[in-house]
Amino acid sequence: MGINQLCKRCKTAEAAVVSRKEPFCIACFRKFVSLKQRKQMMSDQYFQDIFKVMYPDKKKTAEEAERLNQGSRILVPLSFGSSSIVMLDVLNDTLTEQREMHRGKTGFRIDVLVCYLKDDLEELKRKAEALMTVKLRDNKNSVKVHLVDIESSMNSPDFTRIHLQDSTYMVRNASVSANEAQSVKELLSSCSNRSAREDLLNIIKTAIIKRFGVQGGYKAILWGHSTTRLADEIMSLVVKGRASQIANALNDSEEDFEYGEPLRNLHPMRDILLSEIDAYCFVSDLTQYLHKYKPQDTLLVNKIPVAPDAQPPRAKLTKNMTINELARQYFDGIEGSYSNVISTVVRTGAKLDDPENSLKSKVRCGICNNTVFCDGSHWLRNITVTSSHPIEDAEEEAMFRAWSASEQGKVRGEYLKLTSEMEISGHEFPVCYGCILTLGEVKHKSLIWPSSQSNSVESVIEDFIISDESDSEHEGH
Amino acid sequence: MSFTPPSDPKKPKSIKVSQLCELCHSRKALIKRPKNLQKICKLCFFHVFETEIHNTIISNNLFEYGEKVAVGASGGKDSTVLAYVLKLLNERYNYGIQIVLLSIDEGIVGYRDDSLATVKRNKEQYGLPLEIVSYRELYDWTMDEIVACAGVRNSCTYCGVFRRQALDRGAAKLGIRHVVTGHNADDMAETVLMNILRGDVARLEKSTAIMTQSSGSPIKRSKPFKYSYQKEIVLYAHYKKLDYFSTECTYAPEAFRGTARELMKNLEAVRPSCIIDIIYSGESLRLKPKRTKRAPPAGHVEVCSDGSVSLNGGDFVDGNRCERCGYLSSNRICKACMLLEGLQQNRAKLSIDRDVSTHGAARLTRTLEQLTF
Repeated sequence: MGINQLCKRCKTAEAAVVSRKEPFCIACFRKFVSLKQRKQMMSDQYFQDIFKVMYPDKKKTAEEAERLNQGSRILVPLSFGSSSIVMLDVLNDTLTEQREMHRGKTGFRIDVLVCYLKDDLEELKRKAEALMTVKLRDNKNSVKVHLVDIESSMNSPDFTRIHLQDSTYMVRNASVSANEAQSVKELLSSCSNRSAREDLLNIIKTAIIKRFGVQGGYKAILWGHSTTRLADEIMSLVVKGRASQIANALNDSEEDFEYGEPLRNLHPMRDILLSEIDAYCFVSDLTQYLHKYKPQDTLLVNKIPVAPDAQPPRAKLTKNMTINELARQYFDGIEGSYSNVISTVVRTGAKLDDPENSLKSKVRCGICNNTVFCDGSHWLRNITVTSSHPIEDAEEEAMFRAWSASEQGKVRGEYLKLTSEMEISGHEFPVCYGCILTLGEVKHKSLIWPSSQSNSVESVIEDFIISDESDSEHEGH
Repeated sequence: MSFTPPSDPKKPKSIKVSQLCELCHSRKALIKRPKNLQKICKLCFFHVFETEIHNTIISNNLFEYGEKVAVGASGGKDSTVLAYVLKLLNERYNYGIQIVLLSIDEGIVGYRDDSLATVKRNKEQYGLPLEIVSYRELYDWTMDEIVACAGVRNSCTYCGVFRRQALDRGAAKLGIRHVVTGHNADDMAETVLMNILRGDVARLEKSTAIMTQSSGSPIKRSKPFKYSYQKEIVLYAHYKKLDYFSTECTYAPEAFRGTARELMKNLEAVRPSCIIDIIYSGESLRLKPKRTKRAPPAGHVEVCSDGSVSLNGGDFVDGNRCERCGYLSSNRICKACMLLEGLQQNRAKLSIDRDVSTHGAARLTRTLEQLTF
């Protein structure tokens, strides 16, 4: 690549980024990414009504138009990864543009939602405040930030134990007292591998965000998933036996009833590759806001120099990777020779529909809250035999007796004891196939889950709103 | 002094309790099942492996009493175990089926001739009749010639299309209406992943069907190993000391499938149950109803990207037949006839008598193996 290559769009400025075989200057590249996101934000009438600035017309009065503008509140979950930061940046630019074009009027308001675990709180608070006071300063009145403790998802008056019997794949539950409750941290550390941990954390976070969206009466939740991220999400869902969720997860055109009230989801970054988002981060000086995420400079013309004392990244052992990471690694690996695979996967995923329901009624999974279409326990039982070949001679008989009496029998006994308790006091509990797998990778194949979450989330959030006052307080100090 | 017999060196006296089989708790565990990570002994392994296949056969009603069934036998591990297990289960549970081995000779010197020798031994070992159908007699081409003519890159396309037809024709010749193949759970999961990665919408919904049947064809196909892990099939063959041929085909494997296989291997290391999880996912894949396109002008003819001509209206018609050979086809002319025509155009007009230059890489390997000082 020549150093002095010109941008192919404006043909005046020097190219800084090469994407999809085309050289871009910084301004044109920012516009390219921004337009891709805005195209999705205008994808149907419902979203146009949210994002456009409304004026009085034949159908509505001036007051009604203003009410629509004020009432178009959207929820932006912010992970401080590159995608959600870039999405917020484009939304911020949209607001600024609207204020300039429409003499101070804007079409929508943004509520940013940050889910945190205690260890990250200080860092995230600092970054959120920096975002508000620097990047989002001009639109401060249209943007609000909420912080929610992930632990708050375990705030519940009653709890239930969900237990998997491995010999029959039966899942049962029984209520337990509140003092048996686990924290999220404890729950995560009881997982036997990273995939299960990631799965549970994801389920908890998604529940918080969607519940927050429903309770706050937001018009839509904007998810920052890039094409790349969606592709590995689709592949991972298939690998985790969760393919029946794909249709709902990608559905931007219909209402989502997962938490009672209707909710609209939007993936405005679905046409933008992660490498492009990372490049956008670099050229827009957004890297300072990233948390626990390292952007790749693959598309930049001038690569970011590596610090001389920097350690080369350690290659991860395949066994320690999560299913999502393996899917991502696969896409990274084939990018050269089969580059269109990523977008093919996302397009194929978008063509999927809910499977036919083979159950008598509509049931939701007691853990991840997705619709259950098929009895996973029954399916597994049908294809797995767990009976044994009979004991053949006296020697084997002796071994069996030795086993029955031994320590080994007791260790397994702890699990068996729990199982037989659940067999007596527990009830059959609806859980999707994917959650059966996750449950199997938790200690004692059993977890304590809140049985009702009421409105407890709301109360926790209010304490952490970074309001205008707290900002001015900071500025005052 | 009384006589104490020497201890058997092969059989350690004390088996630790922790080493016992998790199912019978009375014999030493030898195998860890990839499906649920249970450590089990050899006898319990045989028991669960055979019973699971029996359950698959029964719950899907694969066989009718008195039915004649052809086992697609390549001499490889899957089909060898399939022939063995089917014969065993047929006797044990009295399915009342007659089993015939059906082999296809693609004409790959140094590979297929050796594996066919294995099938011929199996015929004797299991006492089952054997029928061999060759590409030479059906198409007047061997795979070696096709590769010499069309290159090694597309070899799997030709071979796959031709074999599918050849199995049907072989079965029809024997008056058999049911072909069972040794496709295992790994193959099936790999296909599900590939269909998503390639965006092959037409195959997405059907890719996990255990039995495929068409109203226009008298011959149905089924896969009793749909839920059997390749690893367990290999172990079964190993512990039962079955006679199978383990060399891979010498022509290049499909490159894209290779990448999917690599991904599967990594996934399996992280979560061994993922193979059946993917099959479970595959069974729940369903497409949104197609948006109705604007009606094309009456009497239009659609030409597909591969040059085939679609049927009037462009819709899939079950049981449609090729205009040339009469085989099932979703287009006017079937894929095999299309490929054959392409080959025929490139065939050399003259050939040398007793020419062996078309023999592929396999032949060379065999020759080299046999060299001695």
